[in-house]
Amino acid sequence: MVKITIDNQQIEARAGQSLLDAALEHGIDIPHLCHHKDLIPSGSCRMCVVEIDGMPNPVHSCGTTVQDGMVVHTKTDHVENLRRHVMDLFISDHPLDCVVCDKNGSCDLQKYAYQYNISESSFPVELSRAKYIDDNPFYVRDYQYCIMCGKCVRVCDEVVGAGAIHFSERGFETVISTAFDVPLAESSCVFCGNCVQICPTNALQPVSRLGKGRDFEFEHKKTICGYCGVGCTVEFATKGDKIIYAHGAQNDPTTVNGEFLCVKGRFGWDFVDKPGRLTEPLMRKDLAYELGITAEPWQLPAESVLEKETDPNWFVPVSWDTAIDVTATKLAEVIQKYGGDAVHGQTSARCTNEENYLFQKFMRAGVGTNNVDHCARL
Amino acid sequence: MAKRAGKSRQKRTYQGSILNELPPPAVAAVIEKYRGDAEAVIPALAEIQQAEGHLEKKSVAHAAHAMHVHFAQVYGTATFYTMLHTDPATENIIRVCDGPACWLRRAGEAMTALKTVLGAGWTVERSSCLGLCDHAPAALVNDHRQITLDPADPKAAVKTSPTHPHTYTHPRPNETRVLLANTDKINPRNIETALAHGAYQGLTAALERSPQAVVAEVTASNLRGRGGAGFPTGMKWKFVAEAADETRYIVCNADESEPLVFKDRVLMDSNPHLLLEGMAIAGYAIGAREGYIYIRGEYAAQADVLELAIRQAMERGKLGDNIAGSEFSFHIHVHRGAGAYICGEETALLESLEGRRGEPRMRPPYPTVSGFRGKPTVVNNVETFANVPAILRHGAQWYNELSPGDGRAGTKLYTLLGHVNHPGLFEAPFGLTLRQIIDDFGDGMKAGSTFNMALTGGAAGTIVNRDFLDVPIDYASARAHGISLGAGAFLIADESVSPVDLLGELLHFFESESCGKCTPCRIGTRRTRQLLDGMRAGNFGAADADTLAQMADTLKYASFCGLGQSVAIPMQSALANFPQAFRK
Repeated sequence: MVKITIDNQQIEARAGQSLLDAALEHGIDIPHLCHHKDLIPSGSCRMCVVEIDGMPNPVHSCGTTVQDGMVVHTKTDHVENLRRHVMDLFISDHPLDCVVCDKNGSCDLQKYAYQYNISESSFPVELSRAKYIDDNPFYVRDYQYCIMCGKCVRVCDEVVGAGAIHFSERGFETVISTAFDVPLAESSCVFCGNCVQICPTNALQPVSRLGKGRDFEFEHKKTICGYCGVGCTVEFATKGDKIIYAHGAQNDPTTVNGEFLCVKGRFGWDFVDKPGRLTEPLMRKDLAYELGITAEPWQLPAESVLEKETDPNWFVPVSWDTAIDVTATKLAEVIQKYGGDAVHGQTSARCTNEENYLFQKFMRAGVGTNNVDHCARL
Repeated sequence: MAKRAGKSRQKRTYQGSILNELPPPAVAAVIEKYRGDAEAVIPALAEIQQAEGHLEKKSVAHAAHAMHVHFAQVYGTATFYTMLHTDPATENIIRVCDGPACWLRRAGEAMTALKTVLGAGWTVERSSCLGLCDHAPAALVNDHRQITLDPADPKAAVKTSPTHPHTYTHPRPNETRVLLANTDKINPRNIETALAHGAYQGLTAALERSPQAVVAEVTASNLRGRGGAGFPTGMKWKFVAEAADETRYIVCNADESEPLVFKDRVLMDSNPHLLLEGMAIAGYAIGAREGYIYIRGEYAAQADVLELAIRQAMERGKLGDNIAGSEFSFHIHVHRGAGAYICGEETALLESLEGRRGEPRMRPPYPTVSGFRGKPTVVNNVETFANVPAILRHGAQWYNELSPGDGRAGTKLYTLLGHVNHPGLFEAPFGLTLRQIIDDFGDGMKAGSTFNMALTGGAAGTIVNRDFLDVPIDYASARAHGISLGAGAFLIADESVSPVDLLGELLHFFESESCGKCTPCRIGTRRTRQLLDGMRAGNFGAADADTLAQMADTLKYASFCGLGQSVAIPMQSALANFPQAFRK
């Protein structure tokens, strides 16, 4: 452990930790826009400058490693003035349409504009990037809001490994783009949307939330993603009984996925509201009649079964007990008549490891066959 | 979640259908040559461009795939450098210099004239300083031919036969020549002429001693980095020589892009072996086997000279394996940049050398700890390395005596421009005053001109007034007296040049060359330039001077790298020395 003093408060930081991370962990808020704890620091926004005793000039706290005995000042007039001026520059290259912005209330730039009381830039506003790209079903890119923090580029490269986007051009004209501005679908983008989650402004937004409200209007509900056995924590932003968008849970040490998600967890939840979604066990009507569950006689039509077998009109809802009883009885009959090898068991990547283990055990020891497989091998 | 280094992960390069379209055979050959070499992105792109005129999407996609680099990253690299273009270009391209010396010689008007007289098949573009200030108004034709534009006959630019820029082989009165000694007798294309005048004798002297003794000699010589910052060279070498990692590199910064500075061009053009020898001695001293010269893309002619010199030195056993029968082997590679001032910043240079956009790296770690390929690296300027052979031949004491005075040692190359009778380049000790520079070396102010203002050091130097005429200038004078030596450039101006105009030109340069990484430099240089443009047009706001002062403070203390930080130097000095010019 390393003992340092920040604004007269003594804290213990881990050796090798950056000053900014150490401060944030102890609840000392040093302004920052390009920093993320899971990304290699880039030091580009210049908001996290602090003064350290013994150093002649202000330094960025994101790129400074803590050292024993360090005495740090985060709120001197000089660094506060530097931050205010950096914010002034940011605001001179950013639309001030907060009142109609989806990010209103959860935008980091807005937060610091408020903190430093900057209602407008002291320079004439001139937008360096006015590129709006809506080229995929999942998220839109509205680069007039981009502040070049580069977190999207870093998460894509360092965490996801897709490398679909990068800085292009240089200087004031620098912009984030795919190679030759090809649509994302033609790039190596995997649509995980981690860039969307990590974006501090309105530059990247899920399509599903556009015009649906601001974050302060939503309830954020944490759950476990049902898509696979990993068990990622996913947080749904909801309004009424509707999901608006999904994102990873931030600052929750209990998650197995940190705060990042894959394309399915982030964008694949629209089945929740679909009318065709299965919510209870269903039994085919002919079987239900045969077992006396319904009184209405019914016969499978002669024409193609496959086409219509999911038609809910061909099924009747039954209780879980009935469904399991009937399945077990039928399965036992088959095993008794034809042997265990007449049965094949197929399980799913959406089950946990433990469930999959139990299932193969059930097939081998219970049913008596090695005919067991799993969809994830495809 | 633990940090994951991008490098260790398997990269998924671009896999789209574009890979089904094959590039032309000439491009395919280039791609084959660099297959698997992620560091070769910039030379590969330059060669592809040479083969097909510009960078075609499918060619870049194939190159990225072959070099195992993300397509988007390669595209980002291609768009970063001014000499690489992704849009179809015309067959011929003229880059007209936009630097301060060429601005004084009305290069802008020459460019307009060129655009009107040259027809289809020619593209005329602006370029930041080409390092041809002594040829102002200068231009670069088809990336190779360095010429002076003739405003009376702009079309001559097309047909001028290849010329070589000035090499200053004959000293002017009052010079002390060490680096440029004997350049009148040395043919840069013939190693024998160099060997006849002492080339590689410093290396021989070094090889007779231990590496530690060589570092000690250079430390005792008080040689300081000639790139402008003046960091003690011996100390830098010692850091690397004592590093735990045994793979170490020598990198020469030949990305001479500072406006008004062309000393390295002259050194490489007149005696390339001096640089090669200096690098080899450094390699021996710190235990490196490989050296890289990062030369700016605009110096293609000089890169050719260096490559020839390396070949000749290898043939004569002065470079390569087991130099002069010793255990020491040293290989030098020439890496051409592609147009970016920022690559003169050492960490940006290393990024570029590794094939990426020239954006500066986080420091610490410093290059002496983690430099090229993450290994301990000495990065020195051309002129710094060129000083080393003489130190080894004549000793540290002799070297110290060349420049009398505290903290001074050796000689310096000075570039002198503007309203003096004899502009150009000269070599002299440290500690000259502006008056000496103008009168003793520049043959006085031009007839009818009176000294009013000087820009000293380079674009990132100080703008000073008459009060500074008698201040001795060295690496300490910037801090002590507010007049910087920097890279040794001096632009002398009379009353006809206004400080606001000059500062506006400098900001125009910095804005064009900002890499865009950090906020103060990306947005701040543009806003400052816009403010100065307004002033140049006669629109002075009441608070403008204060805004400039605030901006300078932000650039100085909040910028990420030396480029942004140093923009404050001309701003603050101009505001201090010409306060009335910024208020109306």
